[in-house]
Amino acid sequence: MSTFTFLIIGKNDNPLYEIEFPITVQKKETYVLQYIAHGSLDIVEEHVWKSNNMYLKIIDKFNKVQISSFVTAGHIKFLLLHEKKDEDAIKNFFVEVHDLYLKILLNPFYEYNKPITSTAFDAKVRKIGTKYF
Amino acid sequence: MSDPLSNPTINTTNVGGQTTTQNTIGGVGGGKSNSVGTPYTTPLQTSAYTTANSLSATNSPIPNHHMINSNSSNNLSGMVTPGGAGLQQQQSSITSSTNNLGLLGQQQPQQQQQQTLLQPFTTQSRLISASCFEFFYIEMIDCIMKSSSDKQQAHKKLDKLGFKVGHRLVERLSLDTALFPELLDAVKFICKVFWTTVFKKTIDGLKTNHKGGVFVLTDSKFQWLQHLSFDSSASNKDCSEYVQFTAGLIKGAMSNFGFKCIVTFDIQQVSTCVFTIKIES
Repeated sequence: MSTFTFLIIGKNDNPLYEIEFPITVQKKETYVLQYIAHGSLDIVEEHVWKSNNMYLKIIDKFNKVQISSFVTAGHIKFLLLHEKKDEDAIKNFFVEVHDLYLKILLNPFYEYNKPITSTAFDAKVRKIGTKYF
Repeated sequence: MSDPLSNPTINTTNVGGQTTTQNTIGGVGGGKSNSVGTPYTTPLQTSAYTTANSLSATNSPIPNHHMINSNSSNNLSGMVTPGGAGLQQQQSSITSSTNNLGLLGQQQPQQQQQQTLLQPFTTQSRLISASCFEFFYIEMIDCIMKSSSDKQQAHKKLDKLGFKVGHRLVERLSLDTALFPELLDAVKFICKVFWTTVFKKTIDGLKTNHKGGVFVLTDSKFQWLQHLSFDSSASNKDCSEYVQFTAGLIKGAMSNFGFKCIVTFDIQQVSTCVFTIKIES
């Protein structure tokens, strides 16, 4: 069964949020996935200033794992690590999560570029994740 | 001539087989139906059907004479209520030409009216009263000025506040647009989309020195200065604190796009503001 890891990376390459679908990934594997995501940040940075699109599609591959990326106007990076290639589902997932992220951002009690601790946000992302993956 | 507020007129219209009594007081109608299912709806209650997405007075459910720059009437005909009667709101005793139910006092064919009721209700955006916002803005600046030890500290606070608002607001506005790798595209976005959202008008002039990274934005009728009055005998007519927040807005918006900049401004004549954006290399 293929797993999906979704990460939100801040402006200074600091992690803001992380989730896995389904939640059965072993600890050891989690570190490997974080390492892969970290390695792809430079590639995202290169693509951002070349492309006009927020959705950057698949930007990197590591063994079987593919990395899709989405960058908001404020240069917050959404990364999705996946094995199956389903671009429509991934794009729709990113768009819906972007909408959720905006709602969090417009909350005056949320400090910009700080980790997202909202349980409501977490629950909604899980719901969107199960809908598409 | 009698005062319109002292003599409320009551008009009765037959809508889809039901009699609807409409009280029009001073040109603002509150629909009242004698059918059991239809609730009494005041103009302000209609806002439950709409969504907020801007910072201006246009289309606000509050009557026009309480607004600044408001020139459109709120047409609520065709909205179906539980009792089946269409609600209608008149503003300043002028009936909109697009109004399907026509003048309240006139009888219209039942067939035509029933067609009107079957049309889907198109939601109009609920917007903020510009006068309310401006009063709030003046009070906010007054509060910050009083709580600060000197003018420089107050300006820093306003700049920081504007930065936060601009940073978040521009993220929301650029939801459906592409990224801006080019500096000029980002500035154009601020001049058109961003300025229109905040002030309901685009920037009047944009001059660029692209190589030097300098952009000069001119607003000849800066909305937040237009309604300020000065004591004619006063020697000091400095009102820079009312513009500092906007400089912060621009700085926050540019920062969100990934361009660090310094924003300065100059107030010319009564309400002409010139903002200078200098990109930090």
